[in-house]
Amino acid sequence: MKPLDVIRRSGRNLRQAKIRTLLTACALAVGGFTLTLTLAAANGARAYSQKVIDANFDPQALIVAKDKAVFGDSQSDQQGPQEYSAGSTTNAASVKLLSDQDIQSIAKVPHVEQVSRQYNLSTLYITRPDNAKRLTGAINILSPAQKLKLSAGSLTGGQGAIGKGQVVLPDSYLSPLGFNSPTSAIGQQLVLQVAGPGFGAQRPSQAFTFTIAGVSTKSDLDISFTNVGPFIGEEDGQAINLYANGKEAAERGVPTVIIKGDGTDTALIKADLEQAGYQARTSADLQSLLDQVIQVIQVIILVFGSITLVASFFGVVNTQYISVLERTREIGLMKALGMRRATVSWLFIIEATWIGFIGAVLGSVAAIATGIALNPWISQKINFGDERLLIFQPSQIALLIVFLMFVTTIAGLLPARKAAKLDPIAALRTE
Amino acid sequence: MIEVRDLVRTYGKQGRKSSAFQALNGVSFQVPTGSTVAIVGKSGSGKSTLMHLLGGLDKPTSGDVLIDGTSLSSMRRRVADRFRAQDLGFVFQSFFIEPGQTCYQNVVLPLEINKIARSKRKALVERALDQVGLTDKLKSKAGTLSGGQKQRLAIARAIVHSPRIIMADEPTGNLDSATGEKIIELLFGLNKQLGCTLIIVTHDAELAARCQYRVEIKDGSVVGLHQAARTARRPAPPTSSTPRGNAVAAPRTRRVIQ
Repeated sequence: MKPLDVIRRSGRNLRQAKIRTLLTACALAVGGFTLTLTLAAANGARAYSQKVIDANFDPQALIVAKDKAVFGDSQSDQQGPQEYSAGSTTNAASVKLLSDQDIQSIAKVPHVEQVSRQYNLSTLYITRPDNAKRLTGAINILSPAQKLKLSAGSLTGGQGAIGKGQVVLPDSYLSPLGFNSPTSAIGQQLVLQVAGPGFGAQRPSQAFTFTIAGVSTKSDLDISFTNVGPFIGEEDGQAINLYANGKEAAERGVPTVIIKGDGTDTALIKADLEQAGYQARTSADLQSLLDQVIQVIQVIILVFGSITLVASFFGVVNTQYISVLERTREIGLMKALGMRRATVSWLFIIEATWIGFIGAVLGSVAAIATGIALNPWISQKINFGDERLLIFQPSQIALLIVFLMFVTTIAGLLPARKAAKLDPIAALRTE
Repeated sequence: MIEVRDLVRTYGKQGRKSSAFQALNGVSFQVPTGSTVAIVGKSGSGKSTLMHLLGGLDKPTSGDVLIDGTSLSSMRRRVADRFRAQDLGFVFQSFFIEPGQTCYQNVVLPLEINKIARSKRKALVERALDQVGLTDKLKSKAGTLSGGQKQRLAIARAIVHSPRIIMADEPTGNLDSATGEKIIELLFGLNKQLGCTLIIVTHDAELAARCQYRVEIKDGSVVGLHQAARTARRPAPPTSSTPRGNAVAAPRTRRVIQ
């Protein structure tokens, strides 16, 4: 028998047991549905994390530190509590800092265009003339790696940097500071009251006065921590840091700098930096970190999806055994007419493959329909903005269908063997 | 020429007399190509076993069946499959047609098994349906046919690939006598028209009497071999080149009676 005839005849056999076929295929479709949705959700999550990183982090940027511990790496250069020496504090001693000398040598690494120190700054309060004092979170240094979305004003420091003496306010600060609209804030004065070194009530503080150059808005893709406080330029940051921590502490350096490449592959810059003895993270590293989390969740769901596949595997075995039993006479006839064992076997194997095909198509179509119907609702529920959580990739779905067909083909082997081994005389005697 | 040589078929364990059952006990006869042969006997006489051996569905414990000189018992399974696919047509008492499939799909099966090119199939199926008088049923579901029509469909399936031998196992057993008569006429007509050997297994003495050769079986042995007198009047089948005298003489000398 020709292969095409085998495929057509086995398909026809299925049509004669429509309900049984459909039910078995439905069992399989549950697995196909789960797997399709899982894959789609992982695609969506990956695309989303990519977008979040792209929106918050310049792909040309790297975070550089001297100590692995900065990146939460357990294999820190310094492990456990360190020996006490006069002047050292737990905080400063726990991570190695990047000194001015370090920063100069980082700047000399090929393809590094800009180096921006990341100071840890805080204020006692912020205020503006004739207004109440307000508590604020951290003061952020706008690095070349970060992109601000401005609803008013513009940045005059060149290359998207904040100019000296200028500040960018998040829009959530507007009404507490008495502004009606973003535009009304532009050009106004803002005072950051910064505490100097020391403790208790005698602790000195100094006012740093800024001009509001822009108002930033939070996009759906913003990671929340990038927008908690006002942004200032690096130069002002350095001045505040010097005052707040004192000369000695300020000269010890900063835990991290953010550098910007000149368009070369960041992985190459990273390799050069590591050779020079520094730790670096690129946006691709951040991406892979997020992807790893997504991957773990995806694998867990895939395992559960596969368990339903195991159930439907036995379902197909069972169905095919029934099919062989039901058609004992027909098998006997076909063998009497000279059909070879292998062909009889193939008829039943391909029948199982057909079930796999039908089930997989049913499952993935149902999943796609569900995805199309639910995407807007899901996006709304989890504040995804315009993003879609479920992204279906045709190639993935095609691969899944092939995989399910393979699984059911395997399931069809045993019943097909039984069919092939049937004694035609005994089979023909069955009435 | 179909030559049966001392066929023995034992079921159950050999060598253990108590559990072994001897279905055929040394059967020998021979019939020429193109003739009509009846295998007659009561149920349990071993006639079905004989038919299975003649059709290559089963292997004899000892002895052999020679079809035009080719030994069936020494054939490997694949060769036996091909022999059945190409040279045999089967007609069964309970038709064994697939009611859910169309007449075309039922009849085309032997052509598919024989890997006949798709383009040639339709004409062959139509010709076979023509020959059994079911021309207009090509696309009807087989399940909608009457009993006689179903058997005619089965006959169409048995002749569609132009086999050398048609084996009919109680072809009229499930039919009323008028319909049965028509089926028998059809089978005899095809035998004449196509020149293929027709072997009918039956317990109907009247039907058996109409065949050129009659092999009577009882308890696994041949108890009578007859050649009908009127066979002499029949013209020799066009494909047969066997001298008639030879064929007639053989059965008498090989008769086995226990």
